Amino acid sequence: MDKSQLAGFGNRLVAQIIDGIILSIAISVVLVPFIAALLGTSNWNGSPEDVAAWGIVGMIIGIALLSLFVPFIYEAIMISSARQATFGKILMKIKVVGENGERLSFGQALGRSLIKYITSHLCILLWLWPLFNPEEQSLHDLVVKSYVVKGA
Amino acid sequence: MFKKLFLTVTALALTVFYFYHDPSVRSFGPKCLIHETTGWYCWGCGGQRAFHALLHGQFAQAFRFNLLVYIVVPLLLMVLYSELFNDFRLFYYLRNRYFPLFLLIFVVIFTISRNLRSFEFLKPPVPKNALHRPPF
Repeated sequence: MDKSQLAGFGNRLVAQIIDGIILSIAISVVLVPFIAALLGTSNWNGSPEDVAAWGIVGMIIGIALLSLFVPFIYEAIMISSARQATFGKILMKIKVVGENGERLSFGQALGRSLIKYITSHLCILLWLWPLFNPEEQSLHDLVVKSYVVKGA
Repeated sequence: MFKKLFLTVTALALTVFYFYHDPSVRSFGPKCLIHETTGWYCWGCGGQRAFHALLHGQFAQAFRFNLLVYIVVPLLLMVLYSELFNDFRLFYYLRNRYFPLFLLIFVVIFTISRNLRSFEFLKPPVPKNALHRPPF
C-alpha cells in the first residue's frame, strides 16, 4: 500500500467523532416517541412506581440495543456501499479499501465494525493502534486486511 | 481547516469535561466489561480518574490511579500538535520498529503486575466516600 495515500490519524479521528454525533442524534430521535409513551403510561394502571420502573428498564434495554446494534449495521452497510465510507468518512474525503484497493464485502465490513466496537468496549486505548502501525492499520483493519485511504 | 477546528473543539471539550467531572464520585457510560466479568484490572482502569487528578495538579494521585496517563496524555498532545501544525515527524518516530514493541512489552508488564499481590500501588484505589451510583 502506497504510504502517501493513507488517510492520516487525525482525519480518521474526526470522521469517527462525526459518525458518533450523527448516530447519537439519530438514536435520540428514534427514542423520543418511546420516552413520550413511557411518560404517558406511568399513571395509567397499577401502581405508578411499578410501571415507571418497568418503563425505565425497558428504556435502558432499548438504548443498549440501539447503541450496540445500530453502529454495527450502519458502519457495515455504509462501508460496503459504493462510497466505501460512512458519512463522517465521506465528509473527511477518506474511504475503506481492501488489500488490492477493492470494495469490502458486507461480511467483511460487518466483521470490521464488530471488532472495532468490541475493542472499544475492552479498552478505548486500543483505538490508538494506528499510531504505531507502519501502514496505519487499526486492529479491525488488521483482521480483515483493509486500509483507510484518501479519496472521496 | 475543518479537521483542525474539530480536533481543537474536541480536545477542549474533553479537558473541560474531565476538569469538572470527577469519575470517582459518579461515572457515566457502560461499566468496564473486563473488570465486571473477571475482577481484573486492565491497563486502562483508573484512566479517567487519573486524568481528572492530573488536571487538578495531583500528580502523585494520578500516578496511583493509572501511570499510563503519563504516556497517553503527552502522546495525545503530540498527536494534536502534529495534526494542527502539519508536522508529521512524530508519526515517523512512533512507527519505527522498536518503539511500539517496547511500549507493548511495557503495557503488558504493567497490566500483569497491577493484578499481582505485592504491586498494590499500581492498582487504582477505591475512594472512601465514593457514591458509585448508577446514572439511572
